[in-house]
Order: sequence, then structure tokens, then C-alpha cells
Amino acid sequence: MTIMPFAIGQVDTPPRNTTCVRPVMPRTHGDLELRFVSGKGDQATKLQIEKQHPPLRVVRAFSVQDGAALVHLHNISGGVLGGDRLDLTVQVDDHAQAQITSTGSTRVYRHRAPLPPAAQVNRFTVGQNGLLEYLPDSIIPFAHSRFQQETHITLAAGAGLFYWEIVAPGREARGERCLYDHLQFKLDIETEDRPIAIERTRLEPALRPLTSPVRLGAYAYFATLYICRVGLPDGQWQDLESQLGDMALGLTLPEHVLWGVSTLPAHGVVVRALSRSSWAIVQDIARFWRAAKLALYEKPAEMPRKLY
Amino acid sequence: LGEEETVLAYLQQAMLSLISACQRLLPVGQSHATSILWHLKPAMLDSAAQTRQSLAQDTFSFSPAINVASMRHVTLPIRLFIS
Repeated sequence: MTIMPFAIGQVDTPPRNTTCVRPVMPRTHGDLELRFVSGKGDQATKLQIEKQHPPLRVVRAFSVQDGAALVHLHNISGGVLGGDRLDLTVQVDDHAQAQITSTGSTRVYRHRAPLPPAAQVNRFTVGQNGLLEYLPDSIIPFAHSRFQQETHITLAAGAGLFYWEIVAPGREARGERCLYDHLQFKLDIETEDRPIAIERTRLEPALRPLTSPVRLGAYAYFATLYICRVGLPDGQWQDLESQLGDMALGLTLPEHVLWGVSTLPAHGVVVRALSRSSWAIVQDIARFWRAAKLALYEKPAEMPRKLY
Repeated sequence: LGEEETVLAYLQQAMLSLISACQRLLPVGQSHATSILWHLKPAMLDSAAQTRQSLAQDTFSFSPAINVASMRHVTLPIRLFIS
């Protein structure tokens, strides 16, 4: 574990009483680098752990029926503590297939002054004809939490991607709903010649209420699923948009959950959802993933097992 | 057109189309619509000035309800303002 002492330049408020010095709060820097290597012939994809600094941790990979390697991301500190910095780097080699999930929802704990917001930086690279399926559980930002996530995804020729993100309003069972201070997401998906998705989201509910009709309105949860495969013709994406659009209409229950589907500028489609409860999103986002995987890869998709 | 004029023209046109939609949905007359557009000019100038100091990479937006509504609108059997 790397414990970084808090830098002087980041202190917002100097200590008032020098006779009662508060201990320097440690800032944890987790760092996990994974590489997925294509097996020879019909062999399954292999996992290589290039770097592993807690609290991020992977125990081992499991073989999935279609030859992919499934790994579970562990955060052994139980969640993202205020001020934590987490780096996740994933390299999927040419022709390799990786499936990544989490062991449970990502809990983002209350901000610890004077530390900076907790941050997670994801860097994913998928080689030629490789496939990355990133299927984590939801993010639950606790009251007064501050969290920033940056995700950079680079796709080579023929590379595929299924990437979803589900964001909860907080600990609803405790009556917490959008009581976090600050939530920020940056997402870039690019191919070798162009960006195909850029998202910049900053949520500060106290400054800009999420109950606005253009934001979440009466809904509380939101989710996004990106489905990409570089090099497929536009017509195939329009067909998939139509297929998933029909599914979205069928799964939409206006008082509970809304689904929508649209093509990206190239190489993919995006599915979005708003929901009053988690169950509809968690259950149905997998239906879109399954349908898309069958359409693009002619392979069935099974939800990653959490218990072995 | 210069950069600033282009941004202002875009904002003017975007506001005009939204106000036009309001005229069809709400009891908003021609004079009222023109007045709304006129009173939005300071906000448009302010927005244009802000964009000069911000990078595209640091511009944030969050309007998922509009996104999903737009996605669904394409496939609706009845569209708004269809003629």
C-alpha cells in the first residue's frame, strides 16, 4: 500500500492551534494494472497482473464459456474513502477477451477535509479484435462524498467494448438521496482515428438540483451502456439501434423506468436509462448487453458469477 | 463569420427554436415570444463570453432526461408538431 502524506499546497484551512496538531491524514493510492493475453489456438485468455497496490486487488481470473477471462475487482478497504486515488489500467491484447466486474457496489464515503476529492482513473486499451466487457456494480455516493472518475478507452481495429455505469442516488435505505457534495465523470472512447464518445458530467445537487425535469426529474438512478465494435458498417449499427430501440420501448414503464437507444457517430450505440429504483436498471441493462452480444458476436452472454 | 458571431448566432437560433416550440405548446403569443427572446440576449452574451474561457474538455453537461426523451422521440408513432 502506498500512503502519500498530504501535500502542503492542498490544505484549505491551516490548523488554528499549533499546540494541538491534528495528525496528517494519509491519502491512499491504489494502483492495479491488468493485462489480458490471448491464449494460443483455442485456449482461453490469460490474466497477467502487472501491478497491484491495495486497496485495489484481483485474486485470480476465471474462464468463461466463450474463452474470456473473468476477473473481480476488489477494493479491500470496503469502498472509496475520502481523498483516495485509485488507478486501474487494463490492457486487452489482440484477440484476447476480458470480462471485468466488481464484488459489490462501489461505496463512496464521506469527504475528509482537507483532502482532495476521491478520484478513480481508468485507462482501458483493447487491441485488434480484442473484447473488453466492463460490467461493474453500481456506484453509491454517500452523503457529503466527493468523487471524480476519469475513464479513457482506446479501441484498435476490430476491437469490441461493452461498458456500463450505474449511479445510485445514495443510501436510499437511510433516506439519503442525492446528498453528495460533488460527483464528476469524464469518459472518452476513441478509436485509432477518431473519438466516438465524450462525456463530461458534474453533479453538485446543492447547486443544481437533480430534480430538474431536464436532469433526473422524478427519477433517482441513471445508467449508461456503451456497445462498440470497431469497423462494422453503419447499417449494422442502425439495425442494432432499431432492435434495441424496440426492446427499450418494451421495457419502459414511464412511472418507473425510461430506456433510450441511439447510435454513436461511428462504431457503436449507447443505451441510457433513468429509473426510480435500482432493480429495473440492474436487471434490464443486462438484457441489452445480452441482445447486443448475440447480434455482434453471435455468442450468448452470461452475467458474471460473483460466487465460486 | 467570426468565432464569436458564430456562437451568438447559434445561441440565437437555438433559443428561437425553443421559444417556437413553447408557442405551440403554451399560450404564448407572438409579442410575448419576441419579448422572451429579447430578454434572453444578456444571458446569451454571458454564455458566449464564458465559452471563450473554457476548454471543450472541461465543459460539463448533465441532461439525461432530455437525452432519453430525444432517443425515444425518434420511434414514437406520433411526434410533436408533425404536419
